[in-house]
Amino acid sequence: MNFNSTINSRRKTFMFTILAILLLIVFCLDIILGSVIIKIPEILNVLSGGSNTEFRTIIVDFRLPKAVTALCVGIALSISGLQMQTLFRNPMAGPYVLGVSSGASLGVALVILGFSARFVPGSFQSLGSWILVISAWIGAGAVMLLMMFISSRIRDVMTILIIGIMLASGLSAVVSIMQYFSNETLLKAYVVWTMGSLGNLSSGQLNVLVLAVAAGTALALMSVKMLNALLLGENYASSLGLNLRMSRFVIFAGTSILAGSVTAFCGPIGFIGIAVPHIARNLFKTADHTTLVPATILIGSIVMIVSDIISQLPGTASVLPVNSVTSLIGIPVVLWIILRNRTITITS
Amino acid sequence: MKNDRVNMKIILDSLRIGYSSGRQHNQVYVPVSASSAGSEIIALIGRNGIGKSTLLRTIAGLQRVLGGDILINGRNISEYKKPEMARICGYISTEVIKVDNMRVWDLVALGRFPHTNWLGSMNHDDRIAVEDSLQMTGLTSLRNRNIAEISDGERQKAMIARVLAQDTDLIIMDEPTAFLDIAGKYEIISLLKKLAAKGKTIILSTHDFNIALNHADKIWLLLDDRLAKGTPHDLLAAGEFEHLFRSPSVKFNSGDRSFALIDED
Amino acid sequence: MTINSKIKEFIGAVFILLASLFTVSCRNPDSSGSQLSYNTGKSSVQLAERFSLVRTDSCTILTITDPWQGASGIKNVYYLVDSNSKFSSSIDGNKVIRVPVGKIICMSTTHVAMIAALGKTDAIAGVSGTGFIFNREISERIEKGIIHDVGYDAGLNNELIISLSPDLIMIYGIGSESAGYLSKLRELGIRVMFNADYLESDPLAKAEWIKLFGALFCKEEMADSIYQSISEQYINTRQYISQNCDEKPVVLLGLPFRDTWFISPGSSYAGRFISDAGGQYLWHDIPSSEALPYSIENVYIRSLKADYWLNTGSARSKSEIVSLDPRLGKIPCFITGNVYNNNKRVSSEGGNDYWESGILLPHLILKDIAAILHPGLFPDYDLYYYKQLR
Repeated sequence: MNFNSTINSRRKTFMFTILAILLLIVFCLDIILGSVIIKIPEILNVLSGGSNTEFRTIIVDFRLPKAVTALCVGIALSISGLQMQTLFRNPMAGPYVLGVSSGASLGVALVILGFSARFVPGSFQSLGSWILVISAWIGAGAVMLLMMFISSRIRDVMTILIIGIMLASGLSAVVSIMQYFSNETLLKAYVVWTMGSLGNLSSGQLNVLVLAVAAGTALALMSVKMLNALLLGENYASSLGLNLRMSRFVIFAGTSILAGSVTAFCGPIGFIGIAVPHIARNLFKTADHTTLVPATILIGSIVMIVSDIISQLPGTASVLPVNSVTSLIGIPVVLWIILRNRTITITS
Repeated sequence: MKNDRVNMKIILDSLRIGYSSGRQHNQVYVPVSASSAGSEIIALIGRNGIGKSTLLRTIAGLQRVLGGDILINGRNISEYKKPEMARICGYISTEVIKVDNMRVWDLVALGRFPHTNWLGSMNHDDRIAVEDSLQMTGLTSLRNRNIAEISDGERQKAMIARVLAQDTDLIIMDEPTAFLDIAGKYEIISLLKKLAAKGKTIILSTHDFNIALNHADKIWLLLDDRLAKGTPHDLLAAGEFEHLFRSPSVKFNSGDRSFALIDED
Repeated sequence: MTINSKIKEFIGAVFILLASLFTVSCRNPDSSGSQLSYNTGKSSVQLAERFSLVRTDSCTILTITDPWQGASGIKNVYYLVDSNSKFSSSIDGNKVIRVPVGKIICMSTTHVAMIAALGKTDAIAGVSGTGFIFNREISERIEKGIIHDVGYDAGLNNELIISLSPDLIMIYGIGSESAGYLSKLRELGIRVMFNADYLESDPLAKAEWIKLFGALFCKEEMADSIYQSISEQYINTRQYISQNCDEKPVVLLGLPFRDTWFISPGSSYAGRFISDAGGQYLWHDIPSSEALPYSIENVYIRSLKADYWLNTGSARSKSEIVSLDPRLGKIPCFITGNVYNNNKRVSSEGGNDYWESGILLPHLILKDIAAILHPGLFPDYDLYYYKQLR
């Protein structure tokens, strides 16, 4: 729905331009900055096919894939957060309310911690990095199918929200039990996984992530009109001719693919999905998803890339877990939402 | 708005309403038979919980028919596809919608939902329809106001404007005047009367006797054991309203349309 | 995985416990004369920093200090009193351990290795994680059901432990959490001792912990002579290396976890071996005493200087390393094939002897590493713990 008057559409164009430029800048910064200091002429030299192979490896094999991963993660989590907030009409909803990330965590916990009972500590390492990705995906996919089945049976979307949250808590409890019985090293391996990381994807994995995010984004674009109708709640949306079951299916599928893939490849990365849609709504002063979806794509990728730059602590050898950086950025936003507390409310 | 429309015909034939979960049916009211020849305001009156909202939601196609039929223009509503239904029937519930950053214009534009493409892009006709609806409801000057920040009466008008933009012959409203002050009530009523005169069929529920008796063309009175229907005059003459009051201490006088509290001593 | 956490890993993994049915007094009245020679009032421990043994007329005072990572100012004192003698009423009875200890449960493979070296495997009633044991004799006892698996950490099988009625349960400290779940055992009257051998970064100091077991089993002289021999062999090997090698090849250690590489400092256990073996550890200069998370690109750029890459987690082949992260394949010493791991001696269930007997054969670890870093230094020498990855 193009809800607009000319003044607003000019402002909108301006904002989109600024955000696109900002995205370009932070993307470049993400490639320029890192714990190894590489001067800009050397970077240009590498990009123009220069010969310094070490710097080339760092830029082409380390920083570029990491920046692209950050871009994908930012897009995926922000869009799925937006979808969940609108569908459930809850400002605190996020990509993980359906339990996909808990499903993925259980998959990973089964691999990392479950092995502790039978195998050498650390033997999961030798299985390669795909094993974690695949197990996380299976976990997320199983939860997604379960939630879709439930949503086809249950009319009230709030009931589904509660079931999703309960399911997530239940799965986390199972993971806690496994953690409880794990030894220190495996526990640490699992905890490191939960801290999230962007820089570990092989090129094959990055391709898969890009494809998954593209597919999820396509589903999100298809759901723009549905989401606008759902702003008024499922009753009104239905009276406007929206097929609720179909729209839930599209939105759940999109969110699960996006959030599930990100969790599988990078671990559960928090707060971006909750915070970014609110930033978008407030920057653009609109509830229209034809604007919000592209806005969250841009803002989400900017925020995620900035988080990545910070987590690399440029110039130092050390790194911070990216998940703690996103939390530190996201928590103030979430607090601000709570204090402001009137984003989407409906009373009967 | 189309001007050359044929009046819409609605027939409820032994309609059974209620909720179903799986094979369990929970019928909330006696089978209903009634009809409308269109271009009129029909007021539903009945005690709380008797099933007014359920009846309205069922006619609007938002709830499953448990038995019997609803025919709109001769076709059973189960034969209408959802978007098709949304083009002939608009619905306003008692829910108060407050979405942050949603302007009046945005809300009204959502009425074009059944008419736009998969992305919801608005073409020239859609914009004209939105502007017309705003004008008809007197909201043109509020078009850029946030719907969370306008008065209840203005918001209700905006909801009506949304249904007008939806361009349906049938409008179903659940207690449209419930939260409004006197001025607000009568503004809405006069708007509805104008719409009925232009050919719209409006079915609304209300607890307000004044509005129902003085401004509705027909009343469907949901009594405990049956549906009494007719013009306000007919129902008054038949003394049907007295059946609404089960307490011996309240008495309705059909003659002068007044209530009396009876001292039991 | 860093070396440091690797050590914890292996210690954490193994919790050995066992029932020895007969307690054999190792001390007869005649031997008391020889004990007097220890009765100097000074600790008989030379290198190890976390424990001391002081003989007095009536008992041996064992003090274990700061027995877990980050602990400070903690001193656990035990009075080791001969099972036949009385002890003075001035001694807190809760701190008395009767020696020789008859039945012991131990949580770490290193404990098992030291007890086995003293010929007291029959005293082991239980271990933690039976799969991690390499020692054939112990494995057989586990199979026969003589030694039981008591679980680990929070999964400790308290009922089994109590039914085994051990005289002592020896654990490795992972902090106050451990102390928490063990308080139940203490309440039930079972002696719990934190062993801190894994915190000793000097290979010889680590080996010296055999003296603790010597005191517990009244085999002080045997323990002393084992340590003496280890120490001489280690020092001789180290001296031989330093006299015969001028070049110091640069060594990279460990594996990253995802995009973070936990780097152990040069003063760590593995770092000491590298410098003693005439190599230079890539991170010998970091001042920390604990492993630090480093960015993988930072490690990569430093690794360009490395000649050898050792201790690659559980990787058994180069392809396993590449499957973990293809970029690791771009490290130059990986390409030249100088990648060695310490998992030559691994049981079918994954028990790695490097973490078991290695604690008492540090000179073999040293010789392995020196032989890798300086080809030709030990002609015709077969690597004992290490193997080249292909």
